[in-house]
Amino acid sequence: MLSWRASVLVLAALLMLPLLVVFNSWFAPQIETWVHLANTVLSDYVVNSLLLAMGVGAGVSLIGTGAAWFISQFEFYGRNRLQWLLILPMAIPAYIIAYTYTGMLDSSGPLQVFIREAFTLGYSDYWFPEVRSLIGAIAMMTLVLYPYVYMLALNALKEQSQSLFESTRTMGVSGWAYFFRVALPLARPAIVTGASLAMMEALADYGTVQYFGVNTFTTGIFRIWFGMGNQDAAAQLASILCTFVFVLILLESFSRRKRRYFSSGVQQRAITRRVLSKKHQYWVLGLCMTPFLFGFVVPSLQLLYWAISHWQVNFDDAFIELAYNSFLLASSAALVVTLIALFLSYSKRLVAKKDVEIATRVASMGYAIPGAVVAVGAMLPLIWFDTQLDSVMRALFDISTGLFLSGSLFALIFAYAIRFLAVAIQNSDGGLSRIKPSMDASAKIMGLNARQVLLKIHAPILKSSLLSAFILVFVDVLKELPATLILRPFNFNTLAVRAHELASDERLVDAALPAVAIVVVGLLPIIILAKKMDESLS
Amino acid sequence: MIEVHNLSIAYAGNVVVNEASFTLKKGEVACLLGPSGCGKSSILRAIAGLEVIHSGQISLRNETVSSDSVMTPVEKRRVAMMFQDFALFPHLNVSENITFSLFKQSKEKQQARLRELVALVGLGGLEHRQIHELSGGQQQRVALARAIAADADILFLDEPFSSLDSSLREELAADIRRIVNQQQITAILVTHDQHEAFAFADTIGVINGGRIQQWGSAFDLYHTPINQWVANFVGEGVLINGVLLERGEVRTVMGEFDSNLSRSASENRVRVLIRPDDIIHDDASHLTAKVIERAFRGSHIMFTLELTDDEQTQVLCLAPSHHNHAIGEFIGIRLDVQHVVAFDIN
Repeated sequence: MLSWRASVLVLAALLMLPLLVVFNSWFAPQIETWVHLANTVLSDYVVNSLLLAMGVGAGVSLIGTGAAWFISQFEFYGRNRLQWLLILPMAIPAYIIAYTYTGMLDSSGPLQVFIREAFTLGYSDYWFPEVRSLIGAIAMMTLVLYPYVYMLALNALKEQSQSLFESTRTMGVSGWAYFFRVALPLARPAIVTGASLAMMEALADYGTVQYFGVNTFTTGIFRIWFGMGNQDAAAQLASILCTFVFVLILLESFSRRKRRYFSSGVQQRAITRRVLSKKHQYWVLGLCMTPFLFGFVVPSLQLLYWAISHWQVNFDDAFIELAYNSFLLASSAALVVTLIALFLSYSKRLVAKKDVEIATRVASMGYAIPGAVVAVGAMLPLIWFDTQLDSVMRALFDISTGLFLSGSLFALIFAYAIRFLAVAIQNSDGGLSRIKPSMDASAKIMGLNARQVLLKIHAPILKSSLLSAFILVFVDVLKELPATLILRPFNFNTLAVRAHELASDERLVDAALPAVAIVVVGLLPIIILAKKMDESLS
Repeated sequence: MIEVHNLSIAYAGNVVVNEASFTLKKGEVACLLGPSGCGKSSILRAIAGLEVIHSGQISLRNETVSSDSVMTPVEKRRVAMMFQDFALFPHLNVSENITFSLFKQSKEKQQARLRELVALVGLGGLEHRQIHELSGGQQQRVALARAIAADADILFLDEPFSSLDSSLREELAADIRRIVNQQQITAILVTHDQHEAFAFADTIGVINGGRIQQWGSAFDLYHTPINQWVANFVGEGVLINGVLLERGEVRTVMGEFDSNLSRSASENRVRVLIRPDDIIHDDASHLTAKVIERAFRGSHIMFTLELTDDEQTQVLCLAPSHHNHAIGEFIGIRLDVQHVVAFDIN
């Protein structure tokens, strides 16, 4: 058991290394660079990042809570289907929806062309909102991130007892007053949790803000890392971004401190959905359709149109190689991450020690750390290790090992493991918790040895949880942009990177094919999620 | 105060309440008693306005609130209600819960009413507690205070004690009964527990299959049930075979008695209700019966006895617990029948 325990602790330490490296960078102060930053873009980074996070937080709370309220409380035409359609926008990465809307709404896009032709106007004769702006970035991220709030709020609202609603009515309070005085305060912890997850995603985003030319912490990290070549300063900036995220997590857990008391433990009565009048049904249906329409249908159709119209040109050997690379990278990363998760979950079960539990929790903290930060924190120690190894090997055997770790897929998989381990652990923990210790005991009493117990009992029960862990990590890796951009080996491209490059070159139509591929694969876990939602309803 | 006339309720064509009628005067406390699914909760919820009625009429304070043409919304009916799961607001503390419905009043008025209610239901010193810090009984006291805070003179209780321990249940039921009397509140309790109903209500409506079977006092229900179903449902006892004679008496294996039935032309077969308290254990009696089963109840023992007739009729006998007879033993019994209830089965 000592070896289990020791390996868990070492593994957790390894996974924490990048975070330590990032904060450790302050021991090499980069005064000159910081003076320069302070005089130029630093205030932009801070202000834009904060505005972006707050704007997205407000936007997703409004849309997510509103949709969850109507879906949970009322019976109207199309409600059953909308209930899970509303989570589909999650399949589209923010940077992809950003390219799509830019293509549709900028001055050469179909909408503005139509306006000019319809009213015979010139380019500067009318006002049109600029998509490529901070507001635009907030709108794009809100459209694809609101499902976080929607799903959590929907659960919270559905849990509220029908008696609460009825007793409130006998006390002379009804309609919106019930929403504001009872339902909303009770669902608030769930809404705050969803909103803060969305805000973390917003702070971690690189693709959208870079494309829209909005200066934030992530674009700053890239500029200092690649443009100025100052790795320490980039790490320092990364540590500030990280601090922002940690403050957000602290605020979220503070707001949630009373949540566990919110269900009284006494038998609860399920909500009876109120049937709306015909006229109101159409209004509510229209309202609830809107985020699904603009967050999924419109951008998907546009992407499909672009992809199909240039199919012959773009679907070539290079694209197939690109897809193969992405698939290979995502599946090997998903495999490694799932195995690590399985190992940690088993360790927690076998070694019931406080330090092991803390270690596994620390190891899964990476979900909160932006990809750019993880990448910077992973790259620095790997480069150090490679340099040491190279000089030792040169001195001893006269061989140059070069960028043995930092220049290979190892670096990428290491970073993905940090960033996506939480998703996998959640699933492996869930699967393992369904295997009760009494099952092991009864199998052993029936004469099975440890190996047989593992093969005949654990493996079949764990199978589906591990598969869903694998799929979730696979899709996350496929969508990941900033960490891949920093850590990818020279000349190694993925679908996400290629879409980003093409879009940055203003070749939106060509970017559509890789983008469609990402969205289609991204639908997989969403469908699993939707199925789970359906099961919990019936 | 409350008038229910020919009330019917149906869900998707399925009739759950069939032509229920009753009237309650101000301050009267009634109970709707019946097995689960009998429609008792539906009646209560229809009076409160939480259920749409199919036909009939409901009036509160001489004003029609539900009928073919009228459906006053719940929030306009000025009724108070307590729920099985308490329905307290977990995000508010005790005093905020109690003053929830007083939002239109001034702070001073709210505080004055709060002090009054807290004293009334015995929650002094707990005003600032969170709901999860209270016991089940305390939570239901908060629910009562909250329900009657807005001076409601009508209170509905939908199985409010069923999630509480039995000892707590009796204490709380007695307290609520006292408060309801003192405040002159007209109340309706819904329960499946007859002891609760007997302890709480002046009048009880026994309901089965969506129909009010009998409306009366606990004494009437127990001693003069109107049909065999009520006789079986309320209290303990057995129905033994008998024959109705010409002068209106019934003949059973235990003898002949005057009955509630009028004389009949021919000899009709009937079922006669024998309660455990109709049979007195008397060692001196020449009539004996065999002990088949016994259940010790502290002060008393409930014996199941088999009579010596051909049909091996079984009856119940509640005897003081020093009479510790074993199974298989023959014991002497005597009949002490005040009023025989017989049911014609032709």
